[in-house]
Amino acid sequence: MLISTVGIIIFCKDVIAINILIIYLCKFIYKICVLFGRGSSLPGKIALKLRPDILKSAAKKFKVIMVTGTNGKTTTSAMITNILRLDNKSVISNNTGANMIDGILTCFIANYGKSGWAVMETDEAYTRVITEYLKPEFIVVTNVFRDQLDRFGEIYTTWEKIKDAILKSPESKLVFNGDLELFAKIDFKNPVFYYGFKNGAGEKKVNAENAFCLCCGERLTFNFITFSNLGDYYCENCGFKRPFLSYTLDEIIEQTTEGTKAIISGVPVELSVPGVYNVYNALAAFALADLAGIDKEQIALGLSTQGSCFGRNESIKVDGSSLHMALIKNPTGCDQCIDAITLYSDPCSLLFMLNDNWADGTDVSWVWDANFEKTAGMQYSKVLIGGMRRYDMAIRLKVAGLDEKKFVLLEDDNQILESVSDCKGKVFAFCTYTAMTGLRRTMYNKGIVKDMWK
Amino acid sequence: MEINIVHLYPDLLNTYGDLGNLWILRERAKARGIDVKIHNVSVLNDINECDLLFLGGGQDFEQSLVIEDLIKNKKQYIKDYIENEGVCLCICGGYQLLGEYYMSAAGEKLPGISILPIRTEAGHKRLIGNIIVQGENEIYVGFENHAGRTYIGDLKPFGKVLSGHGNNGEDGLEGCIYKNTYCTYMHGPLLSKNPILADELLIKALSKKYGNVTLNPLNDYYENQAKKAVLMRALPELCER
Repeated sequence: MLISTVGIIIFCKDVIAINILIIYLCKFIYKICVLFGRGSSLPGKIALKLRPDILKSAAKKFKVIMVTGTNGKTTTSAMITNILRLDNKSVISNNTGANMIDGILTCFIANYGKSGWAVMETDEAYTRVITEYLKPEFIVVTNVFRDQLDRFGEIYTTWEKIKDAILKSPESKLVFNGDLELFAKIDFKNPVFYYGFKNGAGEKKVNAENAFCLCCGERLTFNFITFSNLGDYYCENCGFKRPFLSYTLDEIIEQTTEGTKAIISGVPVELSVPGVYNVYNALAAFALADLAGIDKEQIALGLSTQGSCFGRNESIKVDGSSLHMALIKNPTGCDQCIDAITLYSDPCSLLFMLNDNWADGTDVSWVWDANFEKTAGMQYSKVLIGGMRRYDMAIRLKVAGLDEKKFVLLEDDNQILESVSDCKGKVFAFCTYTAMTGLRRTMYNKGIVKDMWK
Repeated sequence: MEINIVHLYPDLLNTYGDLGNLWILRERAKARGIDVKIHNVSVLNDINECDLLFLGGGQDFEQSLVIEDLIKNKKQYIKDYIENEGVCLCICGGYQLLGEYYMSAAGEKLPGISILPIRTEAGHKRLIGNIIVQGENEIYVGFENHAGRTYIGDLKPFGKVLSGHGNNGEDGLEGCIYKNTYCTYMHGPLLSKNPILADELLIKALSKKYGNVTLNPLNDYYENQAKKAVLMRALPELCER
């Protein structure tokens, strides 16, 4: 059957017919992959090889919401998806972190035949490839922070890539984080909506990333900083300042390791995910949903029923222990996870897993820019350390002031799971991407988790 | 004993965890009962007491802000310090800034402070990845990530490239050493996996101040294992030694 289909593709002259055939062929391959329990971008890869512009045909019937940025893509996408679904909209989403072109294409192929909204978490480097073929209804950019610099170069380079993507889609409505200076100096034709914090509880501080005026180079002044270099900034020299915010976080009422109660643009919301970074994600989702015409009460409901998604502050039972997984991939995101987890003041154990595969970032030096010092104050009984670069992690934690006598260096996932279950209590895990997916696969094979990709 | 470490432009030049180098120096000195003072010196600030000078790397935008201040306010001090055999560690952008000029990624020619006869041309492809070099007495491992191609003329290199790209990907050399100034593209941070080098810097800085200083050994098990992990991947045969 495969051979005959390929034969038809080669001999058929009708472009549209070819594309549809390829899509169905790849959908078939997708179903086989699912049958064997492999979440994979293979169908997308094959389709791309056959026709580079296939995305255009595959996504034709969808209104696309593209979500990009260094941190918060997955959670923001999941929040948007949840809000739209609760409002009975038909929604598809690449919700397993397969956010490069082949993963996105695979999602469209798998859902070919349906229509409605498509919430696409998109890797920053691929945004301009995507907008080459589809024109999203909305483009949400959560932030641009220092991320795996080996892959993206500088933050300015990443931002240039996203700007390129936007220039190719001048009709898309833009939803931007207004608290990030980088996003204020723009010159797009698109309608832009900013969100941000009305007031901040954070302290004033400087940060090497870009606390300098992009217009005149002067040091920026902040009325407040929420974290990293996000906040209400202005330049005393040239008057450059934070743009008008269409959506605001008015007040944070309560924060725990379980979630945050807050008021967004006058609407009380109860977020079921912790940390200030998730408040930003919720703001982005709130803005998007409001612009998409969803009722505000409905948005609040969607945000409050948002569960944790794949490896983002997820809790898993391992024998007598409960493993609380947080994905870490760059200093800013990692610090936010640390801030959320260090709210926990009872006895617990810690697990750190550092890998340096391409998806993790091949440069592990970023762990020195994250504030692991803060975890030294927790009531931990053990510090489990694993991953391909576990010794680098051990050095980092030693310098951060964690008690070396409590370090346990572990060679593989089996040893890690054994040690986790020996902890008999809460274990907070900080894992890079492939360390987390690897551990999750081991847990799936052992029957500890039911779904590999969820 | 006391050591004063000056961190130049910590708010502008601090990418790739370079700050870690200072913490490692601090911890290793403290473990030997040496008092450590870290002085953060940025735009408009003066350098006062200094036994060890550290200059890290930054992005092009930040580096352009640094140059102006370096030339205007600090060039003479740093020049005298280096010529006087002061101990200095410069990484990535900090390395480039000591030279005659460097070309930014955007193709702009930016002046350095011309203390060393080195020049940095713009490269098309970034040179990225784990790097292993043979120094004078020791093998060093780290991670490099730079677009600039640096040429060091007749200066002594920091090491010869065993695996990776080095200064320019052509001549097999990495970094440079002039008197007690060490320049390199290696971060990771550099000193986290090369404890011998960290101690060498401390010994030189303290000896200059107090006369011949020796340091008692520390338990470097993690450090040596982290180094071995990098060696094992690229040059497993070296680990046999």
